[in-house]
Amino acid sequence: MANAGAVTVDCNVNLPNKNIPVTVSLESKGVGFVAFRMDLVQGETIIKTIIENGTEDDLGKEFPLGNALALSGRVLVTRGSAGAAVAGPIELQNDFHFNDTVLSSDPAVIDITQTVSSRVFRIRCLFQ
Amino acid sequence: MKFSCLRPIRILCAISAAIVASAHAQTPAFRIKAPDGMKAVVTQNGDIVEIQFVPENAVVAPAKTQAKSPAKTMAAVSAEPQESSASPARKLLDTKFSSLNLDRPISAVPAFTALDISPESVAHPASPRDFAAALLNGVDRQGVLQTGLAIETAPFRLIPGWKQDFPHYKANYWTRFLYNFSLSLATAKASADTDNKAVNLAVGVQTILWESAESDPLRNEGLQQAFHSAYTPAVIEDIPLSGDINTETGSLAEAQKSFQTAVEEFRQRHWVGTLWTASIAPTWNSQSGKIGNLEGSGFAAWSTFAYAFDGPFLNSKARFQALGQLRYRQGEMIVDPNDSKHTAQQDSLLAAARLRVGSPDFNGFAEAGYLWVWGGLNGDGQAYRASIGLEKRIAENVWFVLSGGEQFGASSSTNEFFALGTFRIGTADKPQLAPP
Repeated sequence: MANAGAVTVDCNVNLPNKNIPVTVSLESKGVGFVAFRMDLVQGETIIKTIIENGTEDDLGKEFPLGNALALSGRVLVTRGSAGAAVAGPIELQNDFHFNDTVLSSDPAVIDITQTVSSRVFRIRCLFQ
Repeated sequence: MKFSCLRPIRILCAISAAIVASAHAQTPAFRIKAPDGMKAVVTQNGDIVEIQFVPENAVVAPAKTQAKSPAKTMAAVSAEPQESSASPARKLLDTKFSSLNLDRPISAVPAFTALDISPESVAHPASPRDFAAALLNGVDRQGVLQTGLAIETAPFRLIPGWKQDFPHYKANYWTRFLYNFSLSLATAKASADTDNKAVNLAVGVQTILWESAESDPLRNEGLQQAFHSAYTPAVIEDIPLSGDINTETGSLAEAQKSFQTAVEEFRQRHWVGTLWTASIAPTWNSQSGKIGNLEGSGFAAWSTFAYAFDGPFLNSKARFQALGQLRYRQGEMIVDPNDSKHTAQQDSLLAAARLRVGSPDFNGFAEAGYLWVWGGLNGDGQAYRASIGLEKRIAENVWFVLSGGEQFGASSSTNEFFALGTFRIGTADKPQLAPP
């Protein structure tokens, strides 16, 4: 069995400099099983866990992240794994919702093959 | 050219013996044994290995690259002596599928099926791939050598913004319907007759009307449980917040290995599924071979129901599947292989059944069909069709498909064996669309 490396994505998110609530969701393009958690991080310290035991059933659900002003300089880290018994890509991305706006992170493209049925991924989004 | 009923069986037995022998070798080591009056021509072009059995006096155009050491890589195949001049198309059968992401035995491209040049009468249903390509050189059931190209894609998966995640797929029938919807385009041309420039074209659409949740790898609860048993919250927490991620050792490697084992066990159990598909494919023909002269030549519509029996059978891995298919073909242009001026535009209805037994790596099938023909070369009537074949996975992404059989009956233009002799093996080291 082949061992596949992790898929990592680092991106910046430009939130408005306003006192508005922000929510986050993990979106998937492609059908597969997903296990994940989301943590809000300052430096190397977790200051808030957004969701701890996320699964494929939690895809598309919005979770409160906090106030846009308070998020500046912090990092949302989404860690997990995606897998399927069918070869093909599974794209995972964070969507940030505020007012009627949605900002999307770069996608983590999980390439499922016949010999690699799951891969670990990590998406780091720095709020600016 | 006359063949007894036992000849196809003898050919397939020889092939299966070679396959079984090769399956025990780490590197397939085959020996080519050409039958009397025939010679084996082995060529290799990139990852494509071709074996052709042709009469000893036949002149074969050299391929771009000859195989370096064919004696080490080829299979022994027995074939029958053939006519030398009357119908050269019958001397060759090349069937090759070069595809992507072959996690199940691949299904024939629907557009090829519409042109009736697929090696199987009853194409087994399978989930579509995001994108796939197929090349085919084969003898159609009128004995005319055809070469063709097909591409297949799942177009709705390409729509940006369309919710195609697990919750929607599991809960919504129409999401599954569209997710498994495939679109294919195929062209075929009679290659044996240089004066005949006619080109056939088909556009096929196919979808899964229904599939049991247990057979569907994207909804199977056992696989879902296996995934979450492997990737527990504790394992996910082992992914560092920053820096490099070690997936070679430790809990992440173990989780990956555990789920991979579950997937392989699933493939052993469910390489045949219980599902129902429907397809339709309009066809066009251009006598001059030019796109601008394409004219409609009817359509083909068919539906297939496949049922996987609870197993295992024979041994711990073998599974058994029965398939039934109804196919209607309207406006098909038929050319008499012995008289190119004798043509007919026929309608036909095929009722066929197929039995598959084996493992995901090696299985055989037998199929039989009853064909009603209206306006064929011999007028209205019925014909029978029977064939047997093999599917063998030589290595990852290397599939070998061969079928042979016979069509006979009052409305059949030929009673001869319609497929034998040569085959090709297409390989791909990795999915061709995978990111580098």
